[in-house]
Amino acid sequence: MRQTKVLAGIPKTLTWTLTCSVLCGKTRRFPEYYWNACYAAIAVANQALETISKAKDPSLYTAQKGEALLARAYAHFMLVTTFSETYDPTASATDPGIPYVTVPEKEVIKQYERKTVKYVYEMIEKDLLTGLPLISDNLYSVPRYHFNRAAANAFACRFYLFKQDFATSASYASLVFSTGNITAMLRPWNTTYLTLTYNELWATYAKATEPANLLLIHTPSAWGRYYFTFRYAMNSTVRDAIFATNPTGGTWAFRNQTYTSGEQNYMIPKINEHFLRSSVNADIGTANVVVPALTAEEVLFNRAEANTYLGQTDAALADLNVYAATRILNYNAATHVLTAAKVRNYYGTNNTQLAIIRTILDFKRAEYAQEGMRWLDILRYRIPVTHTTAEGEIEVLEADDKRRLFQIPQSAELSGIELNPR
Amino acid sequence: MVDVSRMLEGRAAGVSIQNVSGSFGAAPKVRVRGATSINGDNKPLWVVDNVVLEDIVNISNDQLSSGDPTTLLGSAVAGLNANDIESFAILKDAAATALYGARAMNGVVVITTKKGRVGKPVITYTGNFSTQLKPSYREYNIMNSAEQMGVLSELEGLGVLTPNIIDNGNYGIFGKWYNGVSQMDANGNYIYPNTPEAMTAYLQRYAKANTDWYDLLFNNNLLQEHSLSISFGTDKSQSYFSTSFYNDNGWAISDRVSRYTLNFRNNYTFSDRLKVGFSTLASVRQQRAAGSLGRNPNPVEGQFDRDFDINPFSYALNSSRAVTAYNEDGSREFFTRNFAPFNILTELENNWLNINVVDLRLQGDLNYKLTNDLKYEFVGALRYVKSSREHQITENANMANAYRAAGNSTIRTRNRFLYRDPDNPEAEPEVVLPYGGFYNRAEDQLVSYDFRNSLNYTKTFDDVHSLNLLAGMQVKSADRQNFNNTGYGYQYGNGGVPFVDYRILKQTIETNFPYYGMSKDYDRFVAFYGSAGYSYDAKYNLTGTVRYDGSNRLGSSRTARWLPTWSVAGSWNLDREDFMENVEKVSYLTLRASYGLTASMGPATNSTIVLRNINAARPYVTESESVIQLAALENADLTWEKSNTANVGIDAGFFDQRLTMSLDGYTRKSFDLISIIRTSGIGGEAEKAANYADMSSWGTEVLIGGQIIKKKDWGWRTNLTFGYNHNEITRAENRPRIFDLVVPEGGNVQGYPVRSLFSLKFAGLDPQNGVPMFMDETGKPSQAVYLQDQNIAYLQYEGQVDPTITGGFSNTFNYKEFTLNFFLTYQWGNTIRLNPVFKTDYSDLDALPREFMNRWALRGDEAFTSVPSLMGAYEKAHVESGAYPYNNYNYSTQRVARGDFIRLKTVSLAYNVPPKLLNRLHMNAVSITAATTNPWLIYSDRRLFGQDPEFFNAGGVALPIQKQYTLSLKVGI
Repeated sequence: MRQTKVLAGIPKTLTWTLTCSVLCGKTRRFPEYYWNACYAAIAVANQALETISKAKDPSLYTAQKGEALLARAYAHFMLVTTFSETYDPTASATDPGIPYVTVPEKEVIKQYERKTVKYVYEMIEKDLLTGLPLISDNLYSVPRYHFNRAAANAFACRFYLFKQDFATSASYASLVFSTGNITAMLRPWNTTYLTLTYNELWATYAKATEPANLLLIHTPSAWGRYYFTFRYAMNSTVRDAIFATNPTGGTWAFRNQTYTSGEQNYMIPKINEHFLRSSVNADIGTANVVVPALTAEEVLFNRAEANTYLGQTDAALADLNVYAATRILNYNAATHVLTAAKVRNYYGTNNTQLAIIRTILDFKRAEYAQEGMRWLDILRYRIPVTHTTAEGEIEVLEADDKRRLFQIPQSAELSGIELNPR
Repeated sequence: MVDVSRMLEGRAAGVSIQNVSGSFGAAPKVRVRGATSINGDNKPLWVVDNVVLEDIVNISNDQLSSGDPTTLLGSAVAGLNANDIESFAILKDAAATALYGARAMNGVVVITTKKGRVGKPVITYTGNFSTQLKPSYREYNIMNSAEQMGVLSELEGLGVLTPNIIDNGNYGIFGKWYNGVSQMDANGNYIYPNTPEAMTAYLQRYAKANTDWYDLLFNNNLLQEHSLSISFGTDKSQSYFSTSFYNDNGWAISDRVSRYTLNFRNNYTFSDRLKVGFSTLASVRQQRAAGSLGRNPNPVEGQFDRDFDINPFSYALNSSRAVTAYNEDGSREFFTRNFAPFNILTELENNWLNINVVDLRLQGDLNYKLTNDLKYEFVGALRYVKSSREHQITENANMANAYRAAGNSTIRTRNRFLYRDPDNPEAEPEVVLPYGGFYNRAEDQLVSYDFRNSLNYTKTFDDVHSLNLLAGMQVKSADRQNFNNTGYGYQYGNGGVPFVDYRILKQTIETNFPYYGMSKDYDRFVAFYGSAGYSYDAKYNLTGTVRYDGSNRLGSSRTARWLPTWSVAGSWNLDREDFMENVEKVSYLTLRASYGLTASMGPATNSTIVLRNINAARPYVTESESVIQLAALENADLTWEKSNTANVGIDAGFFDQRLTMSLDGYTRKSFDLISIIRTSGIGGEAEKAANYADMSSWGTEVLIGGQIIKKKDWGWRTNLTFGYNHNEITRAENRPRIFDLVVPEGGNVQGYPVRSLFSLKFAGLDPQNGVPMFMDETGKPSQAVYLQDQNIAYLQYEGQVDPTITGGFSNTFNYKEFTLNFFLTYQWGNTIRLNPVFKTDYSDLDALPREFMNRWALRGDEAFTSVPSLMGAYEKAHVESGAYPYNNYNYSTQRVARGDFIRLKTVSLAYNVPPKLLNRLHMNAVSITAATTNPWLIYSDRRLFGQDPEFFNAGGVALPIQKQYTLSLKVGI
């Protein structure tokens, strides 16, 4: 685990200056860390499953079994999404997947196979469908840090959306909102969040008490320190592209919580660093963040998207209006409500379905700004990405760019794994 | 010398002793024939009277030189009275250590203690009185106060010593001035008038101070040791009784030690067949040392962090001589450390460690002759050790006051000892230790058993065929318990009532450092062994040994837990051959050879999965929960670390044994050593500990003794030991970080010796500002080197940390009743990292080495000097972010020296009262000895500038070995 220096002591002012050597050169975050961390999580799940299967009475541990299966499925899903081609009903039968590990490793170097994306999806689905009914929220003292029922349904909703099984995706989404009060589960951006200071918003965003956070993951990362600085920077152009207008005609509440950090670095206080000192009063330690891996908003967006493809555009618009009511400043249903005509008009198209999908993608872009979730949409819709460096150089990630697949760590070759083509 | 392990230095060939710390109870670094393991222990096994001496706490290779408080429990033999020792033997090759099996890979030191003798009671008193001299500035290369003040004025000119320094928390003369000109006294006047004249007068006092910190912090101490023994016996029973008292009133003013020992040993002969012996050994130790916390490596900045370090030696070495301990009116003068008032003398009185150790050993032996040739032997021992370390920090200590420093908003933001409430992100940090200090307690306890049963058959057939068969088994168990507790808010001045603010406990919960802890460790060990020896006519001898060891350390896996080892050895006594009969000059001549497998437990224990209970790290207490962590995956192939050793030797004596010599040569292939290797990560562990490393070593040893002159009244005896060891890691797939290789302890890389020292390549001074530059991890000159990078290709190999050559040279002259001894020790072939004296920030508290006189000052100086500049405020603001060039400089090629040295270890003059006089006094023996220890470091690298080549100045509780003068009296009645 890489150690870094504490930034507490210097209060989190909005004037951190960081140079390129720190950002790009000295503290590299390889995809390797994500690869290793996902497989470490899988190893724990497999160990738990092995222990349960060997227990005198495995029926006492069905809830734990459910959690382990879900955790195993989720980690493999994120791996296959990051390191393999995105699911496609035909191509996935031949696209290389990632090793699906189901038993604890007991030898020093073991050989594995990538197989295909289709195979990995089948395995994920199997674990998901076996595990989900076993999940019991009674098991957990801090449910949001475990695969609770809502989180499991939310993951199923994401999985089937990727698998383009829209009806199933929508049905799992509805299970998340079984209480009926969707608004209460969304982040109160245009009410409570507006009254918070940036320090308070930082402290609140990834808290387990926020109903929107269905699954939280605590992980070592310096992301909290760098997410708003220039490598990932939101300059005024990007800021305006995301937040200037939207189909409701209202103003995003996010704009009231957008701060500047140095020149041209806009920041929304979302990712808070949890610094773990190497001893009680040490100046050094590891930087950690809590990632809201699954949120109520995502489930709502996924349901809207699935319903759109199922032809139920009214249902989709209804969900988007619930969402907008929590995000638009001084929301007024009379003026801000989204209708099919309004979105068609906004995007200048006659295709209602297309207009709604574009609304969803733009809403998600605003909602998840600086959280990285848009990457999932960029993959699914093969959206080209244009990067403009501080020096003005332009780099484009095309729809079929090989770099859309992160490279598998070279050390995986020790286990007989082929790397991605470059 | 009170610690028995230090007595080995230079006496036995192939045994290297490095006094990394001279504090009582700290173990020296002992290597028998060099290192055998890469990541595991390299210390030898201690065996006292056939019983393995377990460590109270296991101190790892790296911990040994850390100066942490636990190192004071590091010496396994600290409780042993040196006067009780009858003899030493150091077993080095595979055949010799075979009977000690596992853990014998690093060599075995066998100690035999004295027994009662048949005869009248003999009472022996030994008294040693020693003193150690205070260190002096002559030995070190430190600026005096005038030079120091010159540098401070320059720093002031460079904009470093501005009034802002009082926001840093650590400041001296200048900070005090800036405080004084901005604060009013009780009468409403500024403490110091803000005029140039007043400032000059103020500074002049310090410029002339020339404080002698060594004089203030050290004593010419009195070290006394009294030992009394009574030995007597009949042919049916013998007894030996001894007791001793050792007291050191402290070379450093913070230190004090008393030790009491008791040894009572009885042997009974019930019949020709049955012999029984019992012994009781006890020791009690009470020690006080300067308060210290453990240190933490900081690979980010490239240093070791130790909060509140008040080690007197490193304080004296690192504190500016312009800083004073007393005001002009004689009262203590305080400067500021951690935002709180600090005076080293006050701090040493208010922040100390008490170490108490009680060590008790009961042992029983039984010998029974079943027949004339077959003997049964039993040895059983029980040992109980209880030790406590109490770190007492009163409410007046700087360490306690630092928790209360919250004078203004700047201090509140910067003081890291204040509490930041995560539930209230907008709140300022708060004081959570409003009253009292700390009472921190750590306890280590050991209960161990060791039983051995053996059968021994010895028979000689037809006068020429001798047979010796041995079979035995051993059971060992050691239960260790560690307990620690941080007592917050203990009020020393208020009758010991603790005042605990609940938030300080909340902080420990939030940061996941529980305020107390307890751990138990169970060590179980079983072994079966047998050996067979055959000898023909005392000319040809052959011995074979097999042993089968099992340990619970390697988990429940059957394959990993059991280990067979073996050895064969042969010798040929040439002197008994017919053809040698006429060679009169040769008194004896023996050729020896042995080969065998020895083993040791590696540092990995994951033969089955390793699970660990932890509290999950979460930002809020309400989100925390206890979880099980998968700390290591199962490695079904895990096994012991092993080595094959071949040894050939020759022992010879000439001229009626006036010249004796012993030569040995060995090669050793170590394999299955534990190394950290990289995996694909798919199994869930990106780096695994596995038996993936190999190492090879070879060496020679020479021991020559000669009675050069042997006359009626006078004589000269000389003894030389020489040991050479070469080792190389032939395979290791670990991926060390740069930081792991450049620290003084060195690191391990394939193709290099164990514990190799590497340096950052110095790339000159920046011509713009004199800031040092290095080849960074990408091979480009840069101020910044990312010390956590694993690309080590651009480092410079400097040499190994352990010496390749060690030995001693002793000369004894006697004239009538006088004996004069000179004893030299030497080490050669290692490399030392110089003390880390360079820093980015020099406060007005720090002492600068004289090297700084040659520092870069103007553009162009980089052509003449490699000593970096003092950074001004402007330069400091423009150092690359994340770069610590001055810390890097400490780890550069500029900061190494050769570790070679020759030391005059002891000179002693003894007078034995002649027998005639003794008879008149009715005494058996009386002798008086005057000795000096470590009087002269005859040769060492000039670049060391007074740095002891053996000592690791790590702070904490580490103190160097000092010059010592001793007067001893030995009386036997």
